[in-house]
Amino acid sequence: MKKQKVVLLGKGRVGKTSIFKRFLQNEFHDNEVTTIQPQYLEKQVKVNTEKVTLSIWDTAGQERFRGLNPLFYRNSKAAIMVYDITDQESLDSLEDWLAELKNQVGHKIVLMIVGNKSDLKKKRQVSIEDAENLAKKVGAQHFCVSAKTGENIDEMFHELAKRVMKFVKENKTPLNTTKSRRNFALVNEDVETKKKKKKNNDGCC
Amino acid sequence: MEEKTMEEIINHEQDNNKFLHALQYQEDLSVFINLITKYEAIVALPKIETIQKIPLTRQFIETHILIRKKDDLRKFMTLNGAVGTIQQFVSSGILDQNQISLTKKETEEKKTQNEKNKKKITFLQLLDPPPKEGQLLDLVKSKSYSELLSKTKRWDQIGSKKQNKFEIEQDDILVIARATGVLVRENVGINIIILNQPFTFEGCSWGQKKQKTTARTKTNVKQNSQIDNFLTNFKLKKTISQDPLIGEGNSKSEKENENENEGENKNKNENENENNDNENENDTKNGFKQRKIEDLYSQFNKGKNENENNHFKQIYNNIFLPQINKFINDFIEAFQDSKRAGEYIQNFISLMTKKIVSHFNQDANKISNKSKYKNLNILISEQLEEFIMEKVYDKSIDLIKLDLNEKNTLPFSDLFQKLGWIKLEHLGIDSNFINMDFINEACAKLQNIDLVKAPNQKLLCLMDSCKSISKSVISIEQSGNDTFLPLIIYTILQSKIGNLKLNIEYIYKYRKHETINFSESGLYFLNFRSAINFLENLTIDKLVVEEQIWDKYMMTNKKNVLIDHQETIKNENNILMDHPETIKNDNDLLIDDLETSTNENNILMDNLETSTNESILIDDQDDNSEEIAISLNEKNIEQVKNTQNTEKKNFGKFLNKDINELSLNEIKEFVEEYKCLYLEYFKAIQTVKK
Repeated sequence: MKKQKVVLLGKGRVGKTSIFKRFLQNEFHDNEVTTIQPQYLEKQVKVNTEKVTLSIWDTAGQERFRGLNPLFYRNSKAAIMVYDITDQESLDSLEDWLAELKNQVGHKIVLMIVGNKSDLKKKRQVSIEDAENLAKKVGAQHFCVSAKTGENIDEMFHELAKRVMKFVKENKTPLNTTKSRRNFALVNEDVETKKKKKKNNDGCC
Repeated sequence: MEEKTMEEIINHEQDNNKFLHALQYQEDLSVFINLITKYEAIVALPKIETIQKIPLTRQFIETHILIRKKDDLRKFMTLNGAVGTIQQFVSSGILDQNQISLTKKETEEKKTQNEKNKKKITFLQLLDPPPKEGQLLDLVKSKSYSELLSKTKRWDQIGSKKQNKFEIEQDDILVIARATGVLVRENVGINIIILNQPFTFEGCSWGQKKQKTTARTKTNVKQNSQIDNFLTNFKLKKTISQDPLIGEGNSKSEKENENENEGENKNKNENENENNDNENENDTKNGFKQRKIEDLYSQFNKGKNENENNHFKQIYNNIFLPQINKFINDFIEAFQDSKRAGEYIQNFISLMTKKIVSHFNQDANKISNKSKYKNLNILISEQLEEFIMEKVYDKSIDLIKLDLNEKNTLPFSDLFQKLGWIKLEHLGIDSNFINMDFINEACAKLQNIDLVKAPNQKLLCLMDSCKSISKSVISIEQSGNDTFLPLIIYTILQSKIGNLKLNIEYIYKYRKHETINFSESGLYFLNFRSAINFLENLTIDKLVVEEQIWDKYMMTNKKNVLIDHQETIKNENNILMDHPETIKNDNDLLIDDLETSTNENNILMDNLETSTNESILIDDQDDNSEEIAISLNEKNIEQVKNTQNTEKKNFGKFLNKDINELSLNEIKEFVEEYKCLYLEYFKAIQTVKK
């Protein structure tokens, strides 16, 4: 299955990057990491028998860079909206992002609302109900994760991959061919160059 | 390529746009009908399923309704103003079917591939007989949109009977798009094309059929894939046309057909092209690029005998290169639509790539590893992009400049002067966590962007620079886009590349869009683009900065403007006021005088005391007279003091002000008051002297 774009959204310092990194570090088998950059991640996730490559784009969450983000939303299949369970404001601000997303990509997107820092239960400010209500309202799925302990991270990404896959299949129009073909070619770009390199190495040996 | 997505356009324009509304809800068709019937033309209507499935935006409609220009019937335009001619499309050589002869195997392979993928769509169904001029209006008017669409079924039936139903692939829509200079969106489903212009292609035609055409098709049909047939025949044929222009145009196209068919002419044609090439080859770079694509072939066919390699080289030099060069020349000479230029070139590249790859693929049957060829596709298109873009670089940059000027944006280089003071802290970054060496390295790498021409090369420069920026973050906690974007902004400010924006726009327009939207380099690119966006629309609340500092730096820029203003005002004042500075000096002198006069008064007072002490026996009259004198003096002193007070009063509001901050009116006020004060001083001094 081809590469699917996922954007990571959320207020600054809610731990978007940590979630990102945790996902990268958790090396459960069958998952292949193609690219590692602090802002960009490509990882193959296996759902049942099929594989999907998620290309995850980190975005800048600070208030001052708002208004620049829509540039990044284009063609994204999913958005992971991250809030901090110890910070009510971070959940409230998600609504702004949701509006922004809606403007840019419409409803055709898989949404995940993710409460980070679930290890800090004592400091919890955001009630699970609130978050789940919001998730329900916008048709998203809610997860509580901890980037620190790794709790629920893999589950969240697996669910995401599953939903993205389903979403892509459902939204495939018969004439979507050029797009898919192009994507396919692109996905292979990295893999192919790798193979080529390997082959070259073999030749040397 | 529009900034807005489809959805956005819908949101914004849904209510306003009757045209869209009409199509979307199939109610009021009058606007739509008026538009398409105003110009009797090619009309491509979207399938009804398409309307239901995908957001039907104005953009979609605009790019899918092709209108024939009335003044020149060879030319077509879409509703969004993209213009193209089918003629142009033929002359750029893509359609030259003789040049690319496909083997039977290939055709079969393609067919099976197509069947497997099920990517075929029914594309063109013809009205039979074609509506006469003026009939189209009635035709459309008499039907509601759905009826119109249902009528296509009938056409379809007729079509299958007469075998004038034609199946083409998505790629072919691209071809049409290229001919019309538009980008055809994904998810395109076009149901009918209504033509009132006789139109010929394989297996079916209306209007006068030329013998040559039939002869040619007979000989070549078997060898060519359907696509190529379609491409070759996708041109207007000479008919009993009322418009002389059509005749002219078509006769031209026929000449070309002859060239294509007759070996001699073909050779001549190519010789001409090669001559062009030779001229171009003076540029060593181009020669280098040419070899590159050829080398690709030998790389891919290691172990093959040299004959085959040479054979490919021959094909490349004789067939593809002339086509490419012709395209380049056409583009440089004639292309004007700055907004569509990128798509235009990319479409050509993707087509050309396919053709070249198909030659590689002749051997594909023998090699099981097909993914190898997918990679090949990318390699070739990259090479082509470099090759073409380097040649059309100047032209394309000009087009972008045109575009940018239209938007009336501030020259980007001005920003560096204005915003040079911004430090990392102002962007919310703790500089303790940043290794500045890498930022400097990133700046240096960014400078390279001006040295290369091709968009993919420029993108590589950006990526290089970004990698250095990534390295500069010392703390792992700080990495991620929260830090990365500010760092890019800072790097841009430090690097001071005046035409960075131009470069970014250039990449945006001419680089394949998939690259920008789906890959890692795309993330970096978008970061750069948004950084520029950020800098251009910078306001105080977007920085971590105290108001004073912001004012200090941002105001000095305004001040520069103000100072200029003030100088002119000053000059005016000078004329009005006989040199205020000398007046100031005068005043100083006056104040000195005043002081001496007060001193004199003091002396007088002293004298008075002494005199009163010494001369007790002085006459009352004398006393009185002296008293009068003293009181007079005292009055004068008071007067002077008063004027001094009024000075403080009137100038109070100016006292703490920076001269640069004053407005024009304030300056006038100031000068007026200066004037009054001067006069008062003058009077006072005069009376004191008296």
